[in-house]
Amino acid sequence: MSIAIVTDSTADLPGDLVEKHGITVVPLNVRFGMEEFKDGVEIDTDEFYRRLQAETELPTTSQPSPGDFAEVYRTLAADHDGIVSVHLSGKLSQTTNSATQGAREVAGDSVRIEVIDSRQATIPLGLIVIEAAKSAASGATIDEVVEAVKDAMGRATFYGMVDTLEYLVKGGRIGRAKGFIGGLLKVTPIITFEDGESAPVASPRTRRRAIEKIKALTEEAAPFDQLAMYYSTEPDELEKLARDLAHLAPEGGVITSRIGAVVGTYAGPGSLGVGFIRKKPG
Amino acid sequence: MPPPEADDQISGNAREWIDGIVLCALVAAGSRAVEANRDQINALNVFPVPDGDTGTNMSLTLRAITEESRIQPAFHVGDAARRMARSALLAARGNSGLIAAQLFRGIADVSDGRERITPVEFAAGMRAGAVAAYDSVPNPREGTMLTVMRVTAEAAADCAESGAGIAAVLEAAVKRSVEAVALTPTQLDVLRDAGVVDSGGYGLSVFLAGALEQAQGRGDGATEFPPPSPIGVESDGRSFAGVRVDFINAAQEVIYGYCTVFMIEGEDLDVIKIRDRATTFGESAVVAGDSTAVKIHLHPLDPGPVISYAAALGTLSGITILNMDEQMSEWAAGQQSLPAPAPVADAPRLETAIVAVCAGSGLEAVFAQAGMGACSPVPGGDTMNPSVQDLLGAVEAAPSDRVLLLPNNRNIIAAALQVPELTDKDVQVIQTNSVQAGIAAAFAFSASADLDANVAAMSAAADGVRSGSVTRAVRDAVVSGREIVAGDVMALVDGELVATAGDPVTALVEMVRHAAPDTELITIYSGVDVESADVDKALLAVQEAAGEAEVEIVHGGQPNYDFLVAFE
Repeated sequence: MSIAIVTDSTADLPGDLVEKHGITVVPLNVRFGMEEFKDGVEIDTDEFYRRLQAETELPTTSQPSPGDFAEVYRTLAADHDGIVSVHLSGKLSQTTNSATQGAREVAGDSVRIEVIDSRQATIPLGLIVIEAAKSAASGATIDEVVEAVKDAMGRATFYGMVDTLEYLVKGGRIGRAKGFIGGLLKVTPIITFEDGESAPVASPRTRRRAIEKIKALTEEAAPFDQLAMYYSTEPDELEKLARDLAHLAPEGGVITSRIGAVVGTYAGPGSLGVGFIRKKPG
Repeated sequence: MPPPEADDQISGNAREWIDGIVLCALVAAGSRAVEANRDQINALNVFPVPDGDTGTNMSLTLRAITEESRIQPAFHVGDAARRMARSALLAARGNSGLIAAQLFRGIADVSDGRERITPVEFAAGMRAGAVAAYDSVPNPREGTMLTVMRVTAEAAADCAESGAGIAAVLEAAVKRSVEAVALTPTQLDVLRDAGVVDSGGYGLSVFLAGALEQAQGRGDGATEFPPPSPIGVESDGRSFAGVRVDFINAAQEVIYGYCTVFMIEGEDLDVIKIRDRATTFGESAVVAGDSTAVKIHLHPLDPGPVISYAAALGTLSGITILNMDEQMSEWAAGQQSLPAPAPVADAPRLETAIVAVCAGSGLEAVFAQAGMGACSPVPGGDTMNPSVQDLLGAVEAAPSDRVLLLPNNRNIIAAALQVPELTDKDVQVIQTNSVQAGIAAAFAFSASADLDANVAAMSAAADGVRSGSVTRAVRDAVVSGREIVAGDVMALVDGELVATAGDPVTALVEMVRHAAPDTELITIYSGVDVESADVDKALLAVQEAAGEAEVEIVHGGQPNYDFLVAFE
């Protein structure tokens, strides 16, 4: 018997990695007007970004219901001793809350469920979940897996540039990056997550400089246990970034993926970022 | 001139020894001379632009010292010089102010612990000051105030070694300084091209000439000392020999400070002793009376000490104190109205804060944006260089123990470099020589990076900027071989004239056409006096001239410059 790993669709993990590590992904919902889609399941990513830019009204998102989580946990409980369920920051979404309620329905003598607020979203969340899955695969106890998650959380960081802050602002997820708003000059803001919310890192004047800055920040943070790069609508930029940072790739290579509909609702088109888990010091 | 009598030295002739009061009087007189000649010093800017006014900077720096010694006079030369050095450093504005402050540091070093010093020691102090001055600026160059200070100190030392008194030493120093100032165009091409002598060196020469008048017991502090004619400048063949006469001017009565008159009534008053003592408090002492009543007339810098002294001897009556120098009281008012350091706000403590010198509401907003909330402005710029104290105050008030200081002006860098040693905070100066470079540096700031990483990234960003400006000539001049008439609009890039025109937009467009190749981003900050219709017109015209480069134009709100332009 073993430990199951659950996350949500904001981890933006590519399908092959989800499959390889046996991770269960619970989708959030994205809604254009009255049309609701399960993130990554019912809406194609290209289609989503096309509509994001074409439609006058921005989409909204919602967390999975406690019932969605309960169903997933119940299924997993059948052949696991424990479940570690890692989710996006509680400051950005009620998903962790929903998962906790779902876990309460299912948890009992036969299965222990640990729900963890990663205080992250997108790339670093995905990398933390992979660390959890690796730990579980090595035969660790549930406490050891939880420990592995917390350890990875302390070493996980993300630097992402957004083409415009419009989506973060309108979606109400601007957080401490609000200092970027209202500037006289056009910038390409670089943000990270601090204390579970968006925080400003740098404000380069041009897109080219923003990419250079992300590369520099990544160089400074090396070496890594895991390194990943994500984009929303510009695959060519991602490819170039991956080539330029290939020398920093840890064993197992660089993970590249695409920001899904829910995170994309806030990051918007033209987003590009790097996430990583630093090597333990020493 | 025969050598001074040996017993002059032994008896401690007041003219041959320099105590705190003598030093203060010399400095006050020099300071008044700089004040009186301020406009002439300011007029010697290399470029006919409203830029780093040397006379104003020196005058404000020296004013602070004079005020300090008025408030707290010291008889002990070591104490007086130490206080002067300290207040000069804090008040130092611009390179000229900072270099002048080093003179006092040198004198303070040789006077340390001494009640009074000899002319030889005084001259040694000048030499020590010159050495400190070369260390105080990032790129010391000959043909500047530094050269004038160095050769002047050498002349003073040579003269003092021969046994001369302080007046003779200062006279030798003034003569040499005038020669050195006249020669500056032979050492520095920009001066030769502009047909002027170095303004800072000239200011120093004026200061010494004022001190000399004091030492010789003449002058009223308002003597004009016109600058010597530049040597090596073709358009003006006059030699400096004819100028020196103007410089060392005719004798006049000493009138300065407070005319103080009062009566002491008491018992066993020692008139001789009181007279001797009174001379140490000020000039023009007249003391007369008997053992029960003594009348005192004196011109002290500060009437306080002599009155306190007299009050201990008996009952005072008939006290009248007249301020003999309106200007001095204006100085005092000016000194009191200097902005106090901004109070420490309840702003959240930051990992790293930025302090940036700039003038203009738009530029302040741009710095705020670039620094992502970590940036606080210090008002100042070309025509109003903040003092070391102003910079220190802003650094102290910044909401972090780690501060990046952006001087944003060639003439403020040296003052900024003094700040790290004056505070417990960890301060790094990024040597931005223009507001455009400063903005580029601020945009390279990372809230999450450590101080060293930010310094490296921000310095590199500042180095990648060429700074353009569009402004009106404030006087006729020849710049880079071009005749400029006062009122012409000039376009300068990194201090080089690239275009002249009748109106600012035309000059701007010419400049962009000149500088746009190899440029990715052009940012234009419009000045406080530019009409919005002109801004729109400028944007269209500049976009056409800019080729591939991206162009942004925003309101800078800066004085004096119609447009400031960053080419990156």
